[in-house]
Formats: sequence, structure tokens, C-alpha cells
Amino acid sequence: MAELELSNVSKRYGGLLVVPDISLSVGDGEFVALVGPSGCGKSTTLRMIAGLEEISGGTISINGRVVNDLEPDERGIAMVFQSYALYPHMSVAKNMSFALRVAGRPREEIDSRVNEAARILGLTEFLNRRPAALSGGQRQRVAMGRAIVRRPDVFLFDEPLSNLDAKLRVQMRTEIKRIHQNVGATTIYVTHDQIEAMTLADRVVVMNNGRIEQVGTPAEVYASPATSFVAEFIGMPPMNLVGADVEGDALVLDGGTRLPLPETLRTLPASHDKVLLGLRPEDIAPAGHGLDMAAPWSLDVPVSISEPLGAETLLFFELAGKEWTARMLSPRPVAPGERLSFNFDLSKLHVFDAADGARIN
Amino acid sequence: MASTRTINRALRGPIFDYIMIGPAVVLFSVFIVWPAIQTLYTSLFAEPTKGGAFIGLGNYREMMGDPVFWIALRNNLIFILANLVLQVGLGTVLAAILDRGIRRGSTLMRTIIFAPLVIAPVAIGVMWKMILEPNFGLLRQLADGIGLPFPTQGILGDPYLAFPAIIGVGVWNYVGFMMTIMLAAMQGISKDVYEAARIDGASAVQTFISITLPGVRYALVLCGLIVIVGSFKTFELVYVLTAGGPGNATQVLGTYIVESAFLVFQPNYAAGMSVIVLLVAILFGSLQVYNRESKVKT
Amino acid sequence: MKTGICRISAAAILGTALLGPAVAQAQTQITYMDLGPERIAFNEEIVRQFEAANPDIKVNYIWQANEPYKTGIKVMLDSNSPPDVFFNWAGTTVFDFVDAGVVRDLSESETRGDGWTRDMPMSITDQFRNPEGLWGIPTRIYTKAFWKNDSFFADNGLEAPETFDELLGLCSKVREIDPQMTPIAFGASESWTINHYLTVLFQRHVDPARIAADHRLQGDAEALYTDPGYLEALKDFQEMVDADCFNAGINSVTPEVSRAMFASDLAAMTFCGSWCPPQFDEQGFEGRYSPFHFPAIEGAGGVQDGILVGASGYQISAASKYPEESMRFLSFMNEPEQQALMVEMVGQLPANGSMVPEDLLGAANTRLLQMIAESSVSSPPLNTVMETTVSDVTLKSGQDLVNGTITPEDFMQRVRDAAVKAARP
Repeated sequence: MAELELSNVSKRYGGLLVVPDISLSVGDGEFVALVGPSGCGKSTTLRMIAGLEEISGGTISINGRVVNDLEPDERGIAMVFQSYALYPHMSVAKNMSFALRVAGRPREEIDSRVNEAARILGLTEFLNRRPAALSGGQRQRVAMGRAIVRRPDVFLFDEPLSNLDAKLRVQMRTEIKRIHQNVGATTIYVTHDQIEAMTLADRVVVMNNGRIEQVGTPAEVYASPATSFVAEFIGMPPMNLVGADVEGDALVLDGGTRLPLPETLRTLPASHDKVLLGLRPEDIAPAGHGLDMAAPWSLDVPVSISEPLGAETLLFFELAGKEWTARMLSPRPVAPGERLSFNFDLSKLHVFDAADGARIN
Repeated sequence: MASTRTINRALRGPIFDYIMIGPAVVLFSVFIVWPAIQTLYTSLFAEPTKGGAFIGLGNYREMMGDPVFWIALRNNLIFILANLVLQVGLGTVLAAILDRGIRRGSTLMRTIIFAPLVIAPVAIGVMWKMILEPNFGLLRQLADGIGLPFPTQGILGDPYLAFPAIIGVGVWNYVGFMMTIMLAAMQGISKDVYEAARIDGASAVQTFISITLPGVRYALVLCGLIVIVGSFKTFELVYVLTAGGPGNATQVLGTYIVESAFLVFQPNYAAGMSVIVLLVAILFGSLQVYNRESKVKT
Repeated sequence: MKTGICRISAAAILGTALLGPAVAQAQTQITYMDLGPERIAFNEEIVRQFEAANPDIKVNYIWQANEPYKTGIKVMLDSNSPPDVFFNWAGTTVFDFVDAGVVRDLSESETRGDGWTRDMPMSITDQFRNPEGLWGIPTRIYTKAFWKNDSFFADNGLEAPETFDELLGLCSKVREIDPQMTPIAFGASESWTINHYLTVLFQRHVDPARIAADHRLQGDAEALYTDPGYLEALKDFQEMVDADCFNAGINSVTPEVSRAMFASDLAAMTFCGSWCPPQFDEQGFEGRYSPFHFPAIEGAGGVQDGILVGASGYQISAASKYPEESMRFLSFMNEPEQQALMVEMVGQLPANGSMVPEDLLGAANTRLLQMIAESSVSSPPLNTVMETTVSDVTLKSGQDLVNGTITPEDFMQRVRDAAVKAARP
């Protein structure tokens, strides 16, 4: 198993700086998810680790060995592609054994490793099939099997579940987690889907515009997002964010609504009179329909849309020129236009600098 | 309303299918099938200068004993083999280089290699005849310039060099076409698959053999069949460059048929040879169709 | 501008469509196919004159170059619309077409005494005759001689050779004088040029009656082409090749290039037809060359003062819709006045020279006609008189002989095999 270290890694295509400067340490056996919107540089970073893209600056080392100038196959990595990238004319067994055959490993070793991987992935009965004769989920497993048989130090996943339908995606997610627990290899997992990142990873790296916004456990990035970008990107439905001014002991939302400044925020530095306030939907609920709140503040507003999800209902309303989302735990029918009294748990407020989005509280 | 429905049914039914393929069938019959039958019929009769009586397979028997027919057939077979190796093989390698190897100037390279294809075969023949001219031709001047000996009979006049020269000109002419087909097929192979192979540690040659070749095998078979049928029917290039000479050294069936029919005035014997060419062409043509069908199935 | 052109062409198309049928009805159209391109100007003039005299007949003139013509005319005659009047060389192909039934008997015109018969030498007309009829009308004759570069010969004190051995000696002398100079320019990429050498060499070595009988496949098939003179002739030819008389790459040099070599002072001699002087002149070689006889071969059993002479002329296809009009055109262009015009415009030897003033003929042609008159026997080229399949073998084997891939013995064996096969009923 292995540790992976990226220090001051950058990537430049001609004059275009795609990844300016990334540093990241991944511990042995750790599962790290790179998450961010498309074009944020997460795939480029992964491909640099794999050796499919040249590194323009900085160093990448695996187990303390700098791999910048090593060919992909010399780095001790294995990669699972979004498109699976299976060899279409080879059987499942041939696909999985290709790397070992290229390396000239003895036949018994190849067979035993392929059979073992097939057993772990439930592919034993498909070993002689061609990829074209497999379902999407099975192809995904073959792609993973191809990685597993190589016994790599580091597993790299590039959006591996994006081509699957929603139900299969959830299943495969669990599968990947199980395999990681079985195999225990260091894993870098690129996804644009924050739920995948949150459910799978030990640590989540949120990226935007080629930069790392925050590195932390799923709980950390969720509970205390380091930037307004992370706040908005992590969590479904996303956090409500609204501009506000700090005026003495009050927060004045855009449009004039005044909120009392909660105790926890009394220490706000005076320089930040223009801020972004964030409150997650679960911290807003109609009176009597949410969890207990430490510092509730109430407002009567008409509901514009209600989305019953079964166990809970999402309620949308207008405030300060924005559409807000609230979460009602014990559902009851709500008609559009019905006025409800919403409780806001101001103790859960997230406050960000309006200018650079950095967390203040 | 009722009439609309009737028309619709007609548009869906088998009658409509026949109407749609009708013109093609008629044209095919008039311009391919009927001449073929006529050719077969003609081949069963003696030459007009020898009375034109029905002689059954007499022309075919004569063919078996005609050394020039065998020279022509042998040359056709050599042409097929050489073109398979040089046109398809070289075309595939060039395509692989352009597809995977060269980043800069690949469009220019592709254009240069493809360019000869748009020149008419007759113009190509005339051009190469000038280049190969043994007294003043470009090649002679080059050979003199670097002090190399030049074959006494020139190249197209030498019985051992003329046919290889024709093959060379043919390769120069068609390799770009083969390369283009192969390149199109190679570009259909996903980039991810190549990256996967790279991660799996495959070398450039291993990648070519294990990924590229299997990925383009239908295109490869297609090219092979095009070359086989084309080489079997070849005419213009040989006719313009050597007209089958010197002697009969570069005779192929195409030139020998034309010569027999129009220079020696043996149209019936020529018809017999045409039937042989037609049979072989049909054989390979059906293989081509079979190849296409098996591709559709997978 | 563009719309203007469109409108004009639209009007033209409409006009043609309306007038077309009327014009076609008013005129008889005959197609006339000849060799090109050297005869284009003359043919256009003849067609103009004929159409002026015969406003009801339109002549559609087409042409092909020498080598493609040989194939082209056969394709055309095999098609549904053969040319009405077409060029052909006297010899086997004339009678091949007779056997195939695609040409018309012109005896009637001769009996009637049409314009072309005036002053026409019977011996030349006979080249188109067989017992069944007259199948063509001669228009010109051609001959072949050696030509020498006069100034090169004069500067180096060389003389035209009288004997074959002198010719061989001359080859080495020329090489000694100037290694860059080819003694005899020779292009055999079209193998009939070899055949012309062989025609004269056979004539020198074999009795003319024997040659004629062999060509007509007369007598015992096994005895055809067995005269030892044939073999001697081929050996003499090979001796010329071995004596380095010719330029490099004989088999890949075209006849045109060989003529250009001679006319550009790159060769001391060339063996070339009566059609060659205009091409020499075109290269600015006018007046600097003269012909001499193919030398005699000492001790050979044939004719030592013979020469190659062939005739060519025109035939009318059997399928012609307008045989009368075609005959009228053919007769018109072969009348002595038009023959004189041909000499003036094309510079070729006329079949009928009665109206040609001597100064019009030019020095070269005048000398060639003298040479024909000096000769006791004139033989048409082999490929025009041999049976077609035998001729084909002879043509092909000539190139093999030049290449040294076959021996003279192999050559004659092939000819004999072909003759035996062709003689079979």
C-alpha cells in the first residue's frame, strides 16, 4: 500500500494554466474523492497522477518515490475510466489479464489473480464473454477487475459511475466501498457528484477553477464549508445563501429584512460589514415540523412550491430576492400560496466574506 | 381518408419495396447481368475470322494451353500479393503513425500521401513514364548524379524490373487511399482504450497488435478485398506504363483481354478470359458482402 | 454577367432544340476517322472544301494518335456507330475486317472510274485487293530508311555505310569519336519499330516469294518460317544490339524520343519512316539530315537492294448508312489535286504523285521516292502483312530479343508455333 504526495503540482496547456498549484497528501489506504464542477481540474489532476498527462510543475510522489517522469505502468497505479475503456475484442478474462500478460507473468499467477478478482466482483460466469455482451454494471465491474488484478499501490477512478443509471449507480457505489474495504488500497476517486464523494470518501477534496477549495472529511466539509463555493456545492438541496450587511447587532438581508445577530456571531470582525449568510434547508422548518432549534427566529411567508419526498417535504419560499429551501420533517399537505411561519436556526448560520467567499465564523 | 390509408398501406407493403429497388435491379440487369451473359455466350464460339462456329469450351481449353494467359494470371496473383502487403500493409502502418505517432504536420502528410489518388491513372502512367525514361528521365539523372548504374534496358523495358516498377507506381498511387480508410477506422477507436493499454504497460508495438489491429479488422478486410478485386481487374496503369511489355513480361489479364480482343482480333477468346475474371471478381465480391454482414451482426 | 451568360446559353439551347431536327433532316452526316494529330489541319481543310462543294453532306471528323488508333478503330467498328470512312494500313487488318464483314467492297467505284482512280498506280491499289473485291483506297505510301546527321558525318569524315559490316564498324567509330553520342537512336517501347528492322533484315536474308508464302500461311504448316535466313536476320539484329549501336533502354524509349534524340544532335543516325522528316524539321533540324539505304549484307541469300514500303488508305464500313456519300468524300480527298495538297500540308508521300510539283515534295521526300525507284523489291512492314496472331508473337518477341531473354532460335520457334496454330483450319 502507499502514500501519495502532490506538491505544488501545476498543469499548463500552451498558455492556458489549467491547474495552477495543487498540494495534497493522501495517506496509506485512504479513500480520497476529488469533487467539483466540470472543468475544475479534477480529471486533469487524476491524469497527472496516472501519468497520462505530463506534469508542468511540482512533483508527484508515490511511496516517497517521485514519479514525474515514469511511464504510467511504472507508477504502481491502476485506473478505471468513465467509459470503462475495455478492450472490445477481448473476453472479460483477457481484458483483466492484459497487463499481466504484457508484463510476461507466469500463466498460473495470471489465472489465479483473474479468478480471484472475478470472484470478488461476481464475474466468474462471464469470464469468456466479450464486453459487448455485458450490461453496463458488469462492464464497470470488469473495468474494476482489470485494475484489481494488477494489485496497484494506488487506485484511480475517473467518474466511474457517470455512465450508469441512477439505481445501478447507487448499487455500484456500495460495491466500490465494499471492494475498497476488502482490498484496502489507496484510492483517488474523481466525481462531479458530491453525494458519491460524501458517501465513499474518507476525505473529500473540493476543487474549483483548478484550485483546492477545501480538504476534509465529509462531515467537516458539510458542517463547516471553508468557502461559499464549498457551501453551495456540498449538500443536497444546496445551502441557502444570501447577501447581508452587519449593522451593529443585526444582520440586514438584501431587501431590508433584519435578523438578530446570534450570540455565536458576536465576535465577527468589524471589517466584514458585507457578508454572505448561509443556512442549510434542514435548519429552516415550519413551526412544529423540524428539529429542536437552539436559536429560532420566525418569519411568516407564503410557500411558492412544495415538493413532498415521502419522509420529508421541501418547501420553497421567497425572501430577500432569493428562493429559499426549507425542510419539513413530518409531512403534511401544503398548498402553494399557503402562509407558514418558518423557524430559522440562526445558531447554524454560516457566514462568508462577500468579496472572496472565505468563511468568517 | 380511406384512400389515404390505402396509399399508406401501399407505402409500407412489399410492392413498394419492389418499386423502390426496381430501378437499381433494372440498371444492374441491363448493364451488368446482360453483358455478362452475352460475354459467356460469345466465349462459346470460334473467332469471326475462323468461321464463328459453336465450339463449346474450346476457347477455355485454348486458354489452358496459352502461356501468355498463365503469365498474365501469375502477374495478377503477384500484383494481388504485393499490393496486399504494400498498399494495405504500408497504408495501415502509415495510418497508425498519423493516428498515434505524429502530432505536428499530420494533415500535410495526409494530404501529400493522399494526393496521387486524385490524379487519373493515365496521367500517372505518363508522368512515371517520363520519370523512368532511360536516357533523360529524372531517375536516370539522379542515378548518374550519385554515380549509380542504370539498368541497360531502362526500368520499364527490363523484363525483371518493369513489373516491380508498375507495382511501385500502383503503391504510390493507392497507398493514400488505403491509409485514409485505415485512419478513419483507427480514429473510431476510443482514446480511453489506448490510455488503458498504456496504463497496462503495453508498448507501442503491443498496442498496435493488441488494440489497433483488432479494432480495425473489418476495415482491414475491406481494404484487402478492394485491393484483391482491384488488382485482379487492373488495366490502365499497366496499359499506359508498358502495355504488357517488354514482350509479355508485364501482361495482366486486363491488358491481355484488351489486346486479344482489339489488337489480335480474337473477341471470343477475350470473352472467355473475361468470364474467368468475372468469376474471380464475383467470388471476392461475395466475400466483401459477407464481411459487411458479419460486421453488422456484431 | 453570370445571368447574361445563362440567358444566352439558354437561348442557344432553345434555338438548337428548335432548329436541330430541321438541320439534321437537311443534311447527311458521315463520320470520318483518321490518324492524328499531324493530319488535323489537312483534314479540316479537305472537309471544308468537300462540304463547300456538297452542301447537303456534313462530315464529322475525328482522330486518334498512331498507337491508340490501332485499338480504337477496332473498338469503333465493333460498336453500334462505326465511322463511315476510316483510315487503315494496307495489310492483314484490312482483310481481318473483310473476314469480319465490317467493311464494304469498293470495286464498283473503281469500275465506274471515280475521281480517285485518275493516275493512281495499280500496284499500290492492289495492296487493298483480294480475289473477292477491293476493300480500300490508298492515299499515301510510306517507306523507311536510315537518316544521318550530315554535319556530324562531314566533321568526322564519316561515310554512309554500304555494307552491314561497315554499319557495325560505324557504330564503334561514333562511340570512339564521342562517347555521349548514340550511333543509332532507337525507341522500341512500341514494338513495331523492331518489326521494321526485322522487315528489312528478313528481306536481305530470305527469298521474297518464300516470305510472302510464309506470311500467307501457304503450303505445309510445319514448313512455315523454317528458312534459315530468318535466323540469320535475327542474329544480325542481335549483333547490332551487342555492338552498342543503340541508345540505352531501347525497350523503354518511345519512338518520339528517339526521333527527338536524332534531331537534337544526340544521335548520329536513326532508322526512321517517311513520316519522320516533318518531326525533325519541327525541332529545327531542317536541311541537316539525309537518308541512305539500309546497307547490303554480304553473303546473305535475300534481296540486297530492297526497301520497306507500305501503303495506307481508307476503308468504308459495311454498316454505313450513307455509302454513296461516303464514297463521294473518299474519292474527293484522293483525287490528284487533293493528294498534292496533302503533300503540301502534311509532308507525307502520296500514293498518287502525278500532280505534285517537285519543289513541294521537299528534298527528303524527293530522295525517298528516288530510293524507292532504285530498289528492286519493296516489302511492307511485317506487322501489316503477317497473320494477326503470328504478327502479335513477332512484335512481342522483338522486345524479348532486345532484352536478351530469348535467343533468335526461341524467337523463330515461337513464330513457327504461332504460324502452325494459325494455319489450322
